[in-house]
Amino acid sequence: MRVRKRAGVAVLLVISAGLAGCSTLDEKAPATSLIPLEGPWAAQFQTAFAKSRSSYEKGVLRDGVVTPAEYEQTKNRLRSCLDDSGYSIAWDERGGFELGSKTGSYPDDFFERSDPVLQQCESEWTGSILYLFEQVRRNPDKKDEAGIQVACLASAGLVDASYSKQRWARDNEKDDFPFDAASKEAIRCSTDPLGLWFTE
Amino acid sequence: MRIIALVAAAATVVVLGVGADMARAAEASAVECVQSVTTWQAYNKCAGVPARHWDAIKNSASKYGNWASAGQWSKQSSCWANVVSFGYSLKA
Repeated sequence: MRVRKRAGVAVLLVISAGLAGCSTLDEKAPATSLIPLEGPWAAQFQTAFAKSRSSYEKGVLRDGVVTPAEYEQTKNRLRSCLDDSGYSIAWDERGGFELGSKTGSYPDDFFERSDPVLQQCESEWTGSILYLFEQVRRNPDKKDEAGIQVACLASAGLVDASYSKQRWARDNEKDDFPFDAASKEAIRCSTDPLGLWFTE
Repeated sequence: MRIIALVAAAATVVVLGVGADMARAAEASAVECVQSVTTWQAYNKCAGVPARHWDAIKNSASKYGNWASAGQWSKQSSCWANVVSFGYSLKA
């Protein structure tokens, strides 16, 4: 592992032009007016729409809903964009994924080469679509996160009635819980606190 | 090393890896939102700036965690071997 000797972090602003043959980016400046939406996630959709430079993304977000079909279609578009540049993608049910090489070749700078392509494809095809779908899916009414976490943990028998929302907020920030956070039940509460979709 | 974007894109932050300084105040502010970055996860403290953890792995596919909003962790699905660098990306 490469280890830096001085403290601090590095920021790479990723070059995104000319990396792939996708063409949905709007050349116009982002719209400043808000699309008329209502509901618990309206503000997030409005912000994402206003910041978007992708006509595809705007088309999906415009009605304030990302349907399961749109979610899958968006994944397919991202996969196709990456495929054009020689990369493969395999998603994990919890939202993460692997970005691989179609040739099976992994030079030492594979990440430095592939991550900019990923971000370019994401800016053209996914934007905030996958993120918003996943956030809405796990908490459609945008309930208080601490409240639904504590309820889930108590229901799973991981905490007792004395475990408060404030205590959860502190423990969550430190990732230091009075139970095994890597247990199946704890992961289920973290991933799908309302028990709406996670099947693992 | 600093690479300037021709088209605005997400910032990728390398915690262990090639070094550089902060690009702009905006990025610096966003960077401060993400804490407790390890090979396995990163915590996003700020609203409005989704963050995603990544692992670069020797001779293998790169692994990315979930997008995390305020108060959420972006986590890897496993604790991977042969991680050569890790960090997080901020959604543009």
